Amino acid sequence: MKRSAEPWERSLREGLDALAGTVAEESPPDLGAFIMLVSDVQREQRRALRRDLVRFLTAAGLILCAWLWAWLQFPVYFLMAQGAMAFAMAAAVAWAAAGGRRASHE
Amino acid sequence: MGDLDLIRRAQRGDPAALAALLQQHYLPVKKYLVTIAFDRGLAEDLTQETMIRAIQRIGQFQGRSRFSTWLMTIATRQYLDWLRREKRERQAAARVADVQPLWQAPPSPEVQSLMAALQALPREVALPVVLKHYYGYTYEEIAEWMEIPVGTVKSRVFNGVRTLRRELGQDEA
Repeated sequence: MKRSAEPWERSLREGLDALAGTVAEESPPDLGAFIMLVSDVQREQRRALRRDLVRFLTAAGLILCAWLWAWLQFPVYFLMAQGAMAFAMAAAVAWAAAGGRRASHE
Repeated sequence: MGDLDLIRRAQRGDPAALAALLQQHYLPVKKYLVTIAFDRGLAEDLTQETMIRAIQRIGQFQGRSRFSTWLMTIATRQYLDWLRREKRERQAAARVADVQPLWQAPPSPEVQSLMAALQALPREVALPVVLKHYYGYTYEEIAEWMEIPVGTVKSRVFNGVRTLRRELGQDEA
């Protein structure tokens, strides 16, 4: 069974209905304005996507070039040791960060 | 044309369909924002931001909820972001005072004092009270929208309602 609203609840509904009623008299912008907004936002989104892609490809290219240069310069065991050290450091940082986050929730 | 057809076409990249969809939902979103922000100017700005966010994320709408509910979720998050930005809570209170009266025909004195008490509540307390007691959303839904625990929502609603009752002299204690 649905409970009946308390006086404060009725006043709340009445007040918010009156508030919402002020918007009901308005009309939305015309369709042309919405089409223009959609086109602008989507164009900006495509531009941002293209920018991110260029950044990603530039960074990937630089890393690849650096890797290739190192591969030609140094012996394999040296590169493997370097890679393992970098991986261990990244894992230690991630582990410390996760531990810190967990501690802050406790 | 129904929402579903427009959504499908909008997700396939038809800008006219997306524009028509947003035009249909523009006033309900603005109405919703006026009732949670108590400020027509702010509601106007946030409606615009909600529309922009919906355009950017239309591809992510999976139809698990109604489109209107999805838009309300975005609108709520926009409002919460606005509250968080530059810690505007105090400025918001001043802004509400500036834009009075909110309605053309003034409601009864009880309604006016209730609305004044509601606007005087901290925004993060007033919002769940409105969502729960005006829109009828569940505590779980409100918690998800506000990204806070359910228990926090319950205590905010409880405290908010207690304050409103006290302000109107309807306190049970």
